[in-house]
Amino acid sequence: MNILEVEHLHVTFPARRGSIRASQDVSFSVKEGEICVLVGETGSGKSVIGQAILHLLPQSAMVSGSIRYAGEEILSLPESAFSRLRGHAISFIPQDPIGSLDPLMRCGRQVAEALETRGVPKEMRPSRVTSLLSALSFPDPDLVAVSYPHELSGGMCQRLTTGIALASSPHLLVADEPTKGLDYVSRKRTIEMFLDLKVKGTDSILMITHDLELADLIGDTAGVLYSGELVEFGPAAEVFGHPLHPYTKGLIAALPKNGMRPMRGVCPGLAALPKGCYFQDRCPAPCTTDLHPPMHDVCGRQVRCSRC
Amino acid sequence: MSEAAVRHRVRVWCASVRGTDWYYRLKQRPSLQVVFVLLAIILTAAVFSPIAAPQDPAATCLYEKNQWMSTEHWFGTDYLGRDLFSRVLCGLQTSMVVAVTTIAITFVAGAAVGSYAGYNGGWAGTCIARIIDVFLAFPSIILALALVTLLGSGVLNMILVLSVVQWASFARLMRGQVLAEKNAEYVLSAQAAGLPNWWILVKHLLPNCIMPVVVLATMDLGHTILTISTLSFLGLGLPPSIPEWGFMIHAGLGDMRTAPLNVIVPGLAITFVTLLFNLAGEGIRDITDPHMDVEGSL
Repeated sequence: MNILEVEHLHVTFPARRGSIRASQDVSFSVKEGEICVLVGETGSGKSVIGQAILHLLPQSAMVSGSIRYAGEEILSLPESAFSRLRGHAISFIPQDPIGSLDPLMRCGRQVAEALETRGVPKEMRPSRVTSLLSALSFPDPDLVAVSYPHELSGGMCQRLTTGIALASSPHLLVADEPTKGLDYVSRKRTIEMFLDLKVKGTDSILMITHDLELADLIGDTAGVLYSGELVEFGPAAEVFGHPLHPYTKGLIAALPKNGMRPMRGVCPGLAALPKGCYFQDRCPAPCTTDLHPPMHDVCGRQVRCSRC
Repeated sequence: MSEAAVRHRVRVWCASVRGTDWYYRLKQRPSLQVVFVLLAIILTAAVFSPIAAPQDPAATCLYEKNQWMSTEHWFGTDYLGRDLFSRVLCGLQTSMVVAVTTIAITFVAGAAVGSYAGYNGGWAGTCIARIIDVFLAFPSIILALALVTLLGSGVLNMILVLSVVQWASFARLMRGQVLAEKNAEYVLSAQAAGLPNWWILVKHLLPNCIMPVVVLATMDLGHTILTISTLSFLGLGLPPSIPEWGFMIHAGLGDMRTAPLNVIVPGLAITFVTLLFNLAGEGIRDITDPHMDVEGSL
């Protein structure tokens, strides 16, 4: 059963000249207990999708399309009705782990706060905090609980924000770039933590990342975003093992372990996208038509390329 | 319990004490302790000054005018033979009553107006911001002079005038704080965690915004005392019947060459109290900010 279905999601921001189409015609779904990863470079509209699901976009954003959670349409829900889902059934791990924690509140208190809004009685909270923190492989949960965020490392803050998101035992976890800006060791720990979550297999996770290695390791399904639209979506092993779209191929060839061969060119600005295929300027074998290629099925996955 | 377990309990306990305990950070700063002790003495003296004053501050004795320090008159006597020490002590009470009331009013009004303007924004917020700018663009002493001339002297009028002059700086600081913090990542993630709006405002936004305003309030106490003295010195503050430092300097100016204590004593009192409140303001900033904790200080 699909826990999350996103259909024809368009997100547009008004700009001084024209508008910025941050997300265009994005459709994908996440099954129950599945980890779905969305990858793409900076500015490809990854985070916008996560924020659109959580209703966290700024007021100026124009959103259309459909987002369904467990069959229920949530995009059009008013704020009052949606707030019973946000932080409860759907949790969010924000992008910047250190900035996402209140600098003047002890870490344990911040986790307890998440429990408090779920109606966990006061005397049970400290033990729940400790068990939650030790489940996230903090060697010393009691010490972390009485520390302030600035006393923890980036990786510890990352695990803490994950802990806050998991405090409500959500059905769907949206993680926005959980390995961004982390050093190698913290990143490895974070990957292990998500692998651990995957093994426990309780939640569905939508992970937004530009870390291809992480995506390959933990993803069940994977989507590749380019200039605000999905260019490839399918089972992660196939997308990363046998990429079909030239952009996915280019991304994988650019990985250090594959010889670090970068693609030529840069992606077009979102305010002035070219006619036809957005990837045409960087494509090794560009097509000649002016028609924008639609998503179509190619052996069990969806690709947006007229040559595939 | 094994030694490792004991050591662990001690570390956790130390960490938990260190954070909340402003007292702990105060203990690490001996110079600040001196400031706070002096402040406590000043405040106590201000409260009990009519009882504590060794002599009647209004009792004149022209045979003893303009005397130097003696055991009978510790700081000497003024041009009417009144005991200067008693007068400075009672002047302290006058200054403190006016300054503390003014700061209390401006703090509440400024913080409320500023946080409304910062959090809601929109045209109302912009209007308030422009009004604040207008108040700040006016030289405060000239505005105060104009208002005092209009309203007349007296303690209540003085408080009113100073509040009108000073609320804008509090409102501006609070608005800036809220503007800077309301888009912070932790506010967004608090929203993402499903916390209600009022909760985010009271428990996350306000504690992160209020401390600089508290520091400003403490420092402005000194500044307000200075303004009161300035206005009184110019003869526009309080009626001459109330002992007040600025007016004491003004009145003693004529005999300055023969009896310098008339000017020096109230002048030093103003300097001392203003400086003390400035130091206390900085001190409060230091001890309330967990970022000021020295790494490995335990």
